[in-house]
Amino acid sequence: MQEPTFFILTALAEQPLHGYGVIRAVADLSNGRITLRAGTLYAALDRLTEEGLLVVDREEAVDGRLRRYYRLTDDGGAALSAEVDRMRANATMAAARLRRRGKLAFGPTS
Amino acid sequence: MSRLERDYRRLLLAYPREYRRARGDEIVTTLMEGTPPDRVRPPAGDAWDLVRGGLRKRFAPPHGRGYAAVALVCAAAVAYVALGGAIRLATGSEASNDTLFLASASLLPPEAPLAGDADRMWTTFGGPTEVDLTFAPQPRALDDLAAEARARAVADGWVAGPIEAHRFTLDRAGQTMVVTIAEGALPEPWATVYFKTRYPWPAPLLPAGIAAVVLGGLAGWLTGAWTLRRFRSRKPAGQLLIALTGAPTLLLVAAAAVGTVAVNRGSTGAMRFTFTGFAEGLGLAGLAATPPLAAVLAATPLLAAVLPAAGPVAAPRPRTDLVRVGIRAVTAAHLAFGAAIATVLVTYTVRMLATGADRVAMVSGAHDPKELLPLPVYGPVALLYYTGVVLSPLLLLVSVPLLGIGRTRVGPVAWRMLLAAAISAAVLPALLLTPYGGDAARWWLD
Repeated sequence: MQEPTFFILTALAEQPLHGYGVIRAVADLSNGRITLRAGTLYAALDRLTEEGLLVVDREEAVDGRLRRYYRLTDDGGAALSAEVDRMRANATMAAARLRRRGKLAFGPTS
Repeated sequence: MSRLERDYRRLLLAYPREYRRARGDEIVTTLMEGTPPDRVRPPAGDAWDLVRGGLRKRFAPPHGRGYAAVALVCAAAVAYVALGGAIRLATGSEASNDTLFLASASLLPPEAPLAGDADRMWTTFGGPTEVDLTFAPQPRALDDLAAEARARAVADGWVAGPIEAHRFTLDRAGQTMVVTIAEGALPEPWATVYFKTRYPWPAPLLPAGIAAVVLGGLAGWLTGAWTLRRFRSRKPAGQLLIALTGAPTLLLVAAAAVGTVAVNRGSTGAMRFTFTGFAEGLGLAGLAATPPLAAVLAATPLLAAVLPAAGPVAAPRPRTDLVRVGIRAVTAAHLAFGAAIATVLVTYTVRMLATGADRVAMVSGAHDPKELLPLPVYGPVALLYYTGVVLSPLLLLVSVPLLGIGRTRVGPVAWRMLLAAAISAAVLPALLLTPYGGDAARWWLD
């Protein structure tokens, strides 16, 4: 899973969001590292919808403008959860290796 | 509408109209909500992102499942066919090679046992035809042999240049040959002289060929991607139909390519004195300019254009039972292949009965199947017949296990249909192995 996809799914994990809501949430969650532009965002939303990971939750008109809210499906939740497990396993493995390296570098004190 | 919004809507023109209607307002909302109040023009990053997104929607194959690979194969196939067409057109008017071949033979002593061959210089475009005359080792000086050959050419009406290092140039009516005289071992031990004529490609073929490959590849990519996008949004039955038309078409082009390579690899020794058998039309691709192949190539996108869409994919579809889908797909494939093989057998029999022709007369070429069946029937039948003869028995490896595990998963009608289809897939190709079926197959192939 690519990083923008991961953050979009994460952004929608808590509650349904509309397009600009997703952009803002992704920027917040990634500490400003990932700024989604509209063309990229909608390409990703279309793809994730086609894959059944998202659905349209509802539509709202605000100041005469159309907002469409997206919601994570059960499949989307499962995909995100699997990705989280994978990342956690990778992180644990890397941390364990780093710890062993630290011990080797400094050696046992006694 | 503010100027900024108008600019954004203008940028959205990069997207297909259908998509713009469905999502345009929503995308503009998102863009406007993310804009600081003092902004009057779209930032360059947004503009580029929208144009890129729109072009992707218009021209890129769908995401995932190897769609891009299929689109690439389509691009390669159409580029190949276009190149074949370009070669056909460029060399079609090239009658001069036959006269040059004969002219180079007339340079030699008439009584000498001679052998020769004609070949294309595959990497040379334009320029003179090169003729190498190799004499078996003999007491006479090469200079004398060269002077004799030159004298024969002059008597034949050629304008000859001076002999330099056993080499001279001949010109006649816009044709140029460079003749080189040498001595050495000959590939044919019984001959005393061996002449090798090597032709360049016509000069215009280089730009025409490059253009054909580039434009053909582009057209193939765009058409393939478009067809795949349509494919994705059709109903399963429509998808099956598109796949059953498209896959054999690509196989046919691939088979032509492989066949051409095989012919050209095997032809080095066999081409002697058989100049007209020169296999440079790139096999089937040489037919690119002819309507049947164009019709076959166009069939898949046309089908994709005509078939109705599956409707909006708003709700996630329930999980499909792969066994059920597999049984339907395999049944349809068997039946389509079976229908084509049966059509060949029936047409053969009907023709034989109607005209009273015997088996020898039928395969003599007088009853050409292309003339018996209308083109819209002949094309698909030919395609399915050739593919079916190979694929249908192989498909039994899938359909027989499906018969076993599918009995409880589908209705009795679907199961019996598969049974009948599987039997037809064994019986019909087997019929082609009988003497009668063999005649029919030969008649169809001829």
